[in-house]
Amino acid sequence: MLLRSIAALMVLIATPAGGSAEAQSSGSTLVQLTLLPSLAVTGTQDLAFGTVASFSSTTVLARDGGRFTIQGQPNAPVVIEMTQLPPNLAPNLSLDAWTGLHGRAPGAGGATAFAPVPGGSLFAVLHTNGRYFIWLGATLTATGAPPGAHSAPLVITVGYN
Amino acid sequence: MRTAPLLLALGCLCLLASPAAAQGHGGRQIRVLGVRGLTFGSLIAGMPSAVLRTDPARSGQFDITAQNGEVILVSFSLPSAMTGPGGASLPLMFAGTDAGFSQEQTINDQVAFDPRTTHLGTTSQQGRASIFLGGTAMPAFNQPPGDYSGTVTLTIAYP
Repeated sequence: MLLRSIAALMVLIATPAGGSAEAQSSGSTLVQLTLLPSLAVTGTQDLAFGTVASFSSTTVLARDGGRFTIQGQPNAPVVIEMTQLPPNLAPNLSLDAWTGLHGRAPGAGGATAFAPVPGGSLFAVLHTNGRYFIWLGATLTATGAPPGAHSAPLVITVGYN
Repeated sequence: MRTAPLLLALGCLCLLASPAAAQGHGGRQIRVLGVRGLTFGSLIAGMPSAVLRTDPARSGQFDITAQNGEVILVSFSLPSAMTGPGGASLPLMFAGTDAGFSQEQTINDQVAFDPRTTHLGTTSQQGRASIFLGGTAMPAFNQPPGDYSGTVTLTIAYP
């Protein structure tokens, strides 16, 4: 009887110590992000009108015009801004009637037409390889333009959307 | 044989005393559950990004179950950086008000506290509370692109 009582006493004393494991609890969550690769925009072909007469009008179609290649995060949505579409190359040498194509393949054949507007934007999703292409065409009108070589920068700006 | 009843009586006294000891220390229920990770989404190299603890979609959230209306100690184990491709390290920063304690478990009813130090909070009358966490990720300009992650651990205890 004495031994049984001692055994019972030991169990009773041990019980609270076992419960103390519940006095603290921990839980975890993750911190996560995806760092996108920098966007790269490269002018891979100039919009070239060749040699024109002082009084003439020449149109270069978008598919034959200036081309930009964009490289970024695969499948990422981007916004493409027509930052600078010059209104002229020189006095009496105006540029207008801009045309555009955009697409995920390097060939203009399957690209989609759009109407470029200075300052306007275009939304797109990059190809699974992270690439995208823009083509720009325009009409050059010479009304007594000075002879010589003339040029102006075409600028587009691309950002993740 | 006369000692046996005495020991039995002593045993009964201990039985009565044990529940009190359990309530006063270790027998109280306490549990924390990580509900939602702290998510920064897609970032660009060189551009720091902050997530507010009040952001319902991107802030981290832990739910707490404890004794009704009890004071609890809350302490975070916070990573100083996230790990990414090839073991690349992306610095993380936690500021003095980046954590929030909500007795009502609602993101719009938080008491801000510093996640870098131990905080004392009181559970609701239902024994519940939630902790929300924000922070700032600071990718370097030459940070390698890819997926980055780290682990935040919250420990709660009775004082």
